[in-house]
Amino acid sequence: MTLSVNDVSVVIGSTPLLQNVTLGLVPGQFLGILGPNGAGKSTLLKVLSGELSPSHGTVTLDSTPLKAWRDETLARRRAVMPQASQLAFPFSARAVVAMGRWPYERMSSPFQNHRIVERAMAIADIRHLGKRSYPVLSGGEKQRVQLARALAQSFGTEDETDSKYLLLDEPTAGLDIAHQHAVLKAAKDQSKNYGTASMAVLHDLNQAALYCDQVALISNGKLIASGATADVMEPALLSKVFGCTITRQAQQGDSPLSFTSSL
Amino acid sequence: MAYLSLAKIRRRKKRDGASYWLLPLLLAGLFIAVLLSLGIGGVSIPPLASAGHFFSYLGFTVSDLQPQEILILEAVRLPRTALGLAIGMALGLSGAVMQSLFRNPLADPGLIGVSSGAALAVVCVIVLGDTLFASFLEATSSYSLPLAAFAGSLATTALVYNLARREGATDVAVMLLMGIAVNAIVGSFIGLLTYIADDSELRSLTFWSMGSLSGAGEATWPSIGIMVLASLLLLRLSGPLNLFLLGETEAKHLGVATEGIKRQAALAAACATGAAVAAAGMIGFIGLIAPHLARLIGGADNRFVLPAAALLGALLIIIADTIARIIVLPAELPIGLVTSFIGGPFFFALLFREFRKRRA
Amino acid sequence: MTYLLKHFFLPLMIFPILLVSGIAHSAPQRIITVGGPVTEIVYALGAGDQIIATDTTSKYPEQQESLPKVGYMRQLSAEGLLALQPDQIIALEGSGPAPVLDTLKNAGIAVTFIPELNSPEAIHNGVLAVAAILGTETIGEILGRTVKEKLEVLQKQAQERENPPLVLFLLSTGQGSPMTAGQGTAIDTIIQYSGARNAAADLQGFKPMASEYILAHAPDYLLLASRTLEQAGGLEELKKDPLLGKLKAVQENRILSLDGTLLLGLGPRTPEAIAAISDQLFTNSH
Repeated sequence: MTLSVNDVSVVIGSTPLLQNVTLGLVPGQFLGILGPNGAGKSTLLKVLSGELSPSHGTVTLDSTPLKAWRDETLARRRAVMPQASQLAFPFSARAVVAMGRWPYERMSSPFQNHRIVERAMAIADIRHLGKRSYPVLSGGEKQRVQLARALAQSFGTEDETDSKYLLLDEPTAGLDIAHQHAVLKAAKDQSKNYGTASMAVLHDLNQAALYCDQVALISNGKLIASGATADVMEPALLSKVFGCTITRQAQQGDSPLSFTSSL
Repeated sequence: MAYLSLAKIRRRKKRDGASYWLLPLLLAGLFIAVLLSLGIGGVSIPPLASAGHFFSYLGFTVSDLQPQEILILEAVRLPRTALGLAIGMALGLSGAVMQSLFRNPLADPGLIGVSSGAALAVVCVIVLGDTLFASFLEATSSYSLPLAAFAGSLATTALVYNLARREGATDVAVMLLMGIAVNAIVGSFIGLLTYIADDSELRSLTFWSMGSLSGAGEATWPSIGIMVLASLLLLRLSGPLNLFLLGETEAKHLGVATEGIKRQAALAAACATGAAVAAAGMIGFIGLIAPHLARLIGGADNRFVLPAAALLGALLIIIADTIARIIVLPAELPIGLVTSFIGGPFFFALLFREFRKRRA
Repeated sequence: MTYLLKHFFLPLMIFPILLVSGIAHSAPQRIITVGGPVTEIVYALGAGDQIIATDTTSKYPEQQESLPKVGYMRQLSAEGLLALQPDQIIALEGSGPAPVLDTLKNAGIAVTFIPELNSPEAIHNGVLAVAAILGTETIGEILGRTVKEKLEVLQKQAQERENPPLVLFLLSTGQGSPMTAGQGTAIDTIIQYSGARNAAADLQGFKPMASEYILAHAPDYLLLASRTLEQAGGLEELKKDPLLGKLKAVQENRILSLDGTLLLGLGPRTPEAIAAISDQLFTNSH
């Protein structure tokens, strides 16, 4: 029961963006995707979300090819938080979040929808922005509204049992440090409390180490390593992939992994 | 947070959601405008008397109108009003839908070739009708212009739509560019035919391009039927079109079958606008102004904007037609002129308002 | 000259007498005329006082200018027409839109179409048709036949002319390419019947004419609407025009002018206009 890519390659023109990647999202786990710019992280997310069809290999959800799923049913299983979303029309922030409930329009009561929207907004810390017009929000505020929308979508309904998938494309970009932590904590909580399989494209090694259960390392379109965070985040491997010197602080007891980097 | 009184939730829903409560008000406003407009013209009929006349059919009252007044009311103003309502609704809705589809507040059906296609077909019939399309003219008689306009708009829209198709998917940005290219080519053909046209053909073309509801009558009933059907289809798209505003990918991720919605929206908007152009020629600005007004009074939620744009479009047409009918009596002004006269300054006001808001 | 006297002036002298006797026995109606030639014919038949409104293509005679205008002949308004409470609408063929005139018919108003007046025969029939409505058949027959015969005489004369001069008509001078009148226009008929050749005969309808083409054709005469000549500032100014000043016709004062209201279609006044042009063309040179 996973959302997974099997031996997937993506070639645009003659440029390979992904090469023979095999990876699965596990319910209850938060997976961090790490890698240098242009490694193919967002491409991988696009393949997983169904936005991009692979040139080779298969994408499956619960063993069924993603293409065979109806858009509507698929939307009740996986939510995507995009990198940047512009909106030329003056919707209130709350209305944008409420759009996340669209897939459940017919299966969830207005009361339940309302509660879920409120909860998602509280998690993304945007309750005070509810009535503000989306187009005039700052970049970071827009990001948080999009997060709340994706959360509202992944909350589903009370009587659902199928696992949900939450895909976040660089969710911390443009956020202040406190909100970066809040976003990642939200994704982790989603996995821990609701059994959601979360996945985020990340850049900060320390944040990945702090929040992710699993990490996948991508470079030049190839999956270099994937597995439990502590196993994959080896300083030598990271140094090689990112092309700079990365050292890992000595761990004291239960404290999280911590990295420093220099050229 | 989990504890919210029901009343509080209701209040919130009203504030954050669509302003549906405005719709009955708009409907009432439209009803009053129709009643007033039925009374105004070369022969003025008190609104209450015309209302009384209609109620007399139900047996409630006794009509105290003169035969000539009844004739003007029933044979002239009523068909016109019906046509005006349908056209206003069709243009307002199509505008709102196109703006959502292209995620651009300035979009209108003209962008995908609806108007230019209709214009080319009409120019063809007017200029080449006697020579090349004689059998078509003969077979269709008074329906030939509406039929040509309708077919022209559908054909051009289909062309634009298919040119923008790549591997089964239609990119709206590409559709916009294809629309511009197709419009330019169609425009050059119109120019060529206009050059060939003789004096009276030119006058017919000019007047056609300025729009008029004076053709209202039996020949326009099919157009009205198409406009109503297409409008109903467009109204059903309001929910998915909301999500379209977030972006096509986002809409797809939220479970919208985007290709189907695009196809339906383009087809229904082309039908609605094509039928409007067929019945009354070119009437500009309604498709732009009506949705803007709707957003101004009730927010951007399409579940409100679409029906409101339909009502406001109808209201604007009724007002414009009343002005067109009385301002140069006993002649009448083309309604397209009136809508442009109102529309131009209104558009300026909108732009300036937008600039002020951005500076603040 | 005796020819002219016999064919033009005699009938003209008879008219007033017939006019008075003609109207007497028909009840006055409220008439709306649509189309310049129709208006002219109704006035020529002496029933001008029954007209309550005309359209914007009606420019002659001057009396009709004080009447309400119901708009352009192809863009009539049902309500506007109905509000005037006419008994009778006489319209040139092509007036419309059709649904508007249908509505009027349904309202019990008589709507009569007069076929386009593009030949002597058509003018004759047109005058007869209008006269039948007005109840002035006697005058109608005389006027119609006279106009037709005059035109036929002019046509015959024109065909007998040897070396017909080349006449170019220009609608506007000044900015851009001036418009000229090709085949199928009233101007073309007027030029031909006056015994000349139309320099723009290979064009259809009103078309802008390229400057080079104008110079290359070197017309013997230039025909201008009287208003156009005024706008150009008269003959002396025309001679300074960079394009038209180069024409021999302009340099040698061979300019013909024509009342603008005659340009749009044939009507009762057309024979006089043609005769006047013919006069200018052929009496000067003899």
